[in-house]
Amino acid sequence: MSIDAAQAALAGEHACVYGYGVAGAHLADGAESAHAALAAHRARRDALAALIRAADADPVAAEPGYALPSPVTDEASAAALAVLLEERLGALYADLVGAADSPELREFAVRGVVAAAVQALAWGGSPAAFPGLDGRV
Amino acid sequence: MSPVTQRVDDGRRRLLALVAGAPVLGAAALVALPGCAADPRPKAAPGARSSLDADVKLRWRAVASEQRLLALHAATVAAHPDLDGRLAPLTAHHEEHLTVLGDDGPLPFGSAPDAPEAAAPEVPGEAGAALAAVAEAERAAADACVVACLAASGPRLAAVLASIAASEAGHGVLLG
Repeated sequence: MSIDAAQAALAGEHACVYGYGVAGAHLADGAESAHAALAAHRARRDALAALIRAADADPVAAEPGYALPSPVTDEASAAALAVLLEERLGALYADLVGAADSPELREFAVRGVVAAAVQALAWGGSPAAFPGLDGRV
Repeated sequence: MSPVTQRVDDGRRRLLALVAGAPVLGAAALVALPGCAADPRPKAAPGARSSLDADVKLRWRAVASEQRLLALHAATVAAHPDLDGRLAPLTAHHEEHLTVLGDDGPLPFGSAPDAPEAAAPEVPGEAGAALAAVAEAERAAADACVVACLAASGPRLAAVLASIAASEAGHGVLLG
């Protein structure tokens, strides 16, 4: 259902906002691009929450705590976390593309799939034939 | 365990699922999507162009776009063999796109509606410019895929087109 998929993507944006907060301190090249990524995720989080509210649902809140898949101690582990976050987020947006029941949500989702794929590459991820759908086509 | 710890713990488990494993998705969303569920197929694919199912037309155009990109990659590598290393992994993606788009059902013979006549792609004589031309073509193809995704009715086709758009936008970044 559309709202479930939108809520899942919103939860993913919350996780990204948290994750970039952790990774940002270690990402060289800057604070600059980590800041830009964080700002982009915050903006999409807020826009998606507004779309969910417009559909008469309560947007999910951020979790009080998040466990990292592995410790972030240096630039390489921070970049690896950023790649992982973007790839997972891309999968959530790909689900939302299929589930979206309004043109606005569909468009938001497809832009999310593209942005996540491009951002994952920026942090050193590998290019893929089917970003967001790996193993599902 | 205190209620607060419990709550944090639940949150952690959920995030862990998000970050490290399966996306936190309702099972419903997964069933509705790619992997398994094919979009319903129109009964008659080949036939008068005007009566073609709209999704078949979108898929047909996407196939034509992949074929043009493959032709451009091939012509670029033929003119600049040194670019093979850069382009080969990306060429393989287009082959995968073509396979998945073709596997989703029969398509009419001939070239897609509105497809420009398949002329041999022109490749700039300078390698940097040739690469830039491929990057530009990838970006344009990605934009077209986004538009097609917005027009698609079937959820699987929409998700596949979104993913191809993401792949080609990534190519544009890598080559640009």
